[in-house]
Amino acid sequence: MKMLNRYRPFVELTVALGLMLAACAQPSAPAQPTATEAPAPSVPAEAKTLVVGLPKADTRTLDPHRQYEIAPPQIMRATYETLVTLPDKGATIDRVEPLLAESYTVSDDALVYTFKLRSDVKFASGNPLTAEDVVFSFKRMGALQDNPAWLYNDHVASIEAPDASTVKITLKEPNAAFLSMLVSPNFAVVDSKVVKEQGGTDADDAKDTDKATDWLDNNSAGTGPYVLKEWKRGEQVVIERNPNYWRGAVAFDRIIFREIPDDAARQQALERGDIDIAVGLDVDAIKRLEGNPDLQIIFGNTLDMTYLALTMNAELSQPLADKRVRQAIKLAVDYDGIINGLLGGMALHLPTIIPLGLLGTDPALAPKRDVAQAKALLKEAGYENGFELTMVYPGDRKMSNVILADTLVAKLQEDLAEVGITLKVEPRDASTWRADYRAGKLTATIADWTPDFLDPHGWAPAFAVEGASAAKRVYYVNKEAEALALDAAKITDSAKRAEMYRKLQEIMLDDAAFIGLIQPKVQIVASAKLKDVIYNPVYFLDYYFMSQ
Amino acid sequence: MSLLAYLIRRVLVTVPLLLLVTLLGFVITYLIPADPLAMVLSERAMANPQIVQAYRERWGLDRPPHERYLTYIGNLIRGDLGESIVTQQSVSVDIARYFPATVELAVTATLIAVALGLPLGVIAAVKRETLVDHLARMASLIGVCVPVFWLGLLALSLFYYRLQWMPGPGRMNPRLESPPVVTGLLTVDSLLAGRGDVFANALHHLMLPALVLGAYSMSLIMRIVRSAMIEVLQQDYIRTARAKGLIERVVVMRHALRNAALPAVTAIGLAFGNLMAGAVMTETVFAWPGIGRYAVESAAKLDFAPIMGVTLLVAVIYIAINFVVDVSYALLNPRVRLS
Repeated sequence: MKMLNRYRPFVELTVALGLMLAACAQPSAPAQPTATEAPAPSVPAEAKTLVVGLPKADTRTLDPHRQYEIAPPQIMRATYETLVTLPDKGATIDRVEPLLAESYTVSDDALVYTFKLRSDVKFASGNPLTAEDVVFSFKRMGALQDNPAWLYNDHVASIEAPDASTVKITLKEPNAAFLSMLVSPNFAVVDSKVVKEQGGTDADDAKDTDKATDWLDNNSAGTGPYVLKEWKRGEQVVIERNPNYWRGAVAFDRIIFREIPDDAARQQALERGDIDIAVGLDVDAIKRLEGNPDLQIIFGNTLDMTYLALTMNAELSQPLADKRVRQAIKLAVDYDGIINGLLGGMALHLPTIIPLGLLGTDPALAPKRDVAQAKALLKEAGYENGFELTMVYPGDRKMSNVILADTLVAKLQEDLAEVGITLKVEPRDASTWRADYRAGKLTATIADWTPDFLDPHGWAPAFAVEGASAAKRVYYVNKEAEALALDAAKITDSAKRAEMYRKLQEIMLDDAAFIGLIQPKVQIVASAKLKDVIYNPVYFLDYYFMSQ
Repeated sequence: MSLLAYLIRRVLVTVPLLLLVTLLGFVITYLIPADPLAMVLSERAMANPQIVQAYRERWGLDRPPHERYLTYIGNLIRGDLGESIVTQQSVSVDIARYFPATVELAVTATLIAVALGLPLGVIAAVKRETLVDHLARMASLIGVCVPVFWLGLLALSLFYYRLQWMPGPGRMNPRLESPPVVTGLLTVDSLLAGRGDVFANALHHLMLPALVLGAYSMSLIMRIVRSAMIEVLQQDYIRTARAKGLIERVVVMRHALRNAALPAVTAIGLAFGNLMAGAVMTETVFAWPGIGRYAVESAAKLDFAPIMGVTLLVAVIYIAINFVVDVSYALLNPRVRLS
């Protein structure tokens, strides 16, 4: 016993450290949500309840002016609304239509946006919607200096309410993409009276003085068809019908968003009927469920993407600094094998960095594999005998949530070997990989990009302007591309803009610093009894339209 | 030495140990060449100096590391575990939210493990080298070897999906209204609220994950009890007891088991510790909103305060269990003295 006691502190320390190390070494958490139930006999049958099974939800807050994670938008959409929205129940993404606004005008120079509000809109509290609520909401979002604050601060010079039903927004510089930004759930219009009562403010020092977030995490203050009833972190979110909803009654009394992190468990819960909708099931699960007459599978195109990044910095890689070498790599990749072979067709092939479906995009621009041409280019560049290239990548990660980075990199390694390029692969922890990539230290890597708003302007400047957040990672410099990326946002003529974005993509394809690999499709499996389950890339699902 | 003096001494030894744990935790987190803000801010926000600055100030990341560490320790001494950057909640609040679910699961798992492992071990020892023994040993081998996530998926597929005997993932039917949170233990809270339906539903939900989580502990306890019993049963005093004409049940239960109990207590203590590790996978498969998932998610996001909070919690639990095991030793065996 004495012996035992003498060593015990060391044993305890070792155990504690071991646990800690184990915790630190954990790769990014298994990304999924959770749970469901057998219909218990005690559940009252009269309330119409919809249960949505989500993978692990990344929700940090349900304050519309702070949230910027993947899980919240569908909850935001059900509880809050925006001035403009996507047409066709969300199915159309290249233009917008009014929602809380009755009409709007945009000045020819894309600088002044004027909205006339509907007169029949009431918040869930019963308060009528006024221009003051819009002004308060947008200013609060900017002043909080949280994740989405740039949407307001980078663009808006002033916002005013000339009368109770008019909102006039003047931008800092012309920006034709601003309307599409307003579709974002961050531009949710909140009930300013209620939020102020809960300690909310739109003052310039709101980042230090606003106290409403705790309340907004558990309640909502919007005009949406549902109101937030409960958020049990790591478990579920419950929303209930808004009795004051201005567009009339909605189909469900209650919607429960339940986290079921494990894919198999979520799939079983769906088949057992414990949940009505399952989000985030993988390709194999979808194949199994395809023949089930009780279920429907909804497909949609996300605006996510995974791309191959090749540095243009000769100090990092002599061969890659030569455009012909990068083009050879572009021609060596077996895109079809990735999309149809590895992903079972569950992705689109985006040409470079603007996802398909947006203004000015065209699937025909996507490069095709041409091994002979790739070899010829390498020979021309003086690398007839090939060379060795190092690829550092996030080893523990599922790229665009659909394909393991290891799998994708192994495929690229195989493809490049065919043209004589030896890909030396170095998997890293996602956080260190990201830090190095952001700092421009990597020669070649694969990376993801998720949409911020539905306009090519959400991608073009970040990738094409020298020193911009994505461009600087590969030292991308091309003055012509830069000019196109910036100028295309300054005009309102859609046809002309589309043409400019097309030209931009052609230039970026020729430079081959960013090579588009996959733009994943999304699959949602729902009970066949549900109607109007329509995916859209901003809100995911809009429960206003859904019925049974 | 009295129990109290022993307790005080143990606590005094523990304090520097925990401090060392926090220091190492801080250094490791700090040495990882990645910015914790990159885990919570979007690409756009990271490119925006005002937002980054507001976050640095808000989370104290603009201050030098030694200052941050000292602040952390200062707060820790006052019982403040700091705030999570990811959940934006105080770590104590987060732990209070997630820990009861894990406690409920782990305690149930341990009860099941002891209730099954102990008698199985005794029976296997008494019926040594018979079919019963072989079957029990086989079962325990499986329990020790099979990874818990796989066992969990298998159990869910069989008992929930195919046979439909058990409810699915989660702590209760989402369609039921949850009782007000008092202890965080759903079974207790539902009883306090007089909600028999929720209690029954929660208990039903608890069974499968607890059985899966307890499988390893059960096997461990069974194996250790079995081998300890076999050893004791060969001792002279057992032969004497039998020679006195005592019935076999008394020999086994009173004379043998009491003496085989020491290793069993160690095994139970060890097993409880192991549950904390197994809880991570079980919680994921069964959609159990517990501390294991919280720990993994915090670690993946380099969220220092919750990583440390959970590490300290686990360290304290280990130390407490070891203490209880030591005290039980002294109680069970008068030859052992606390020193």
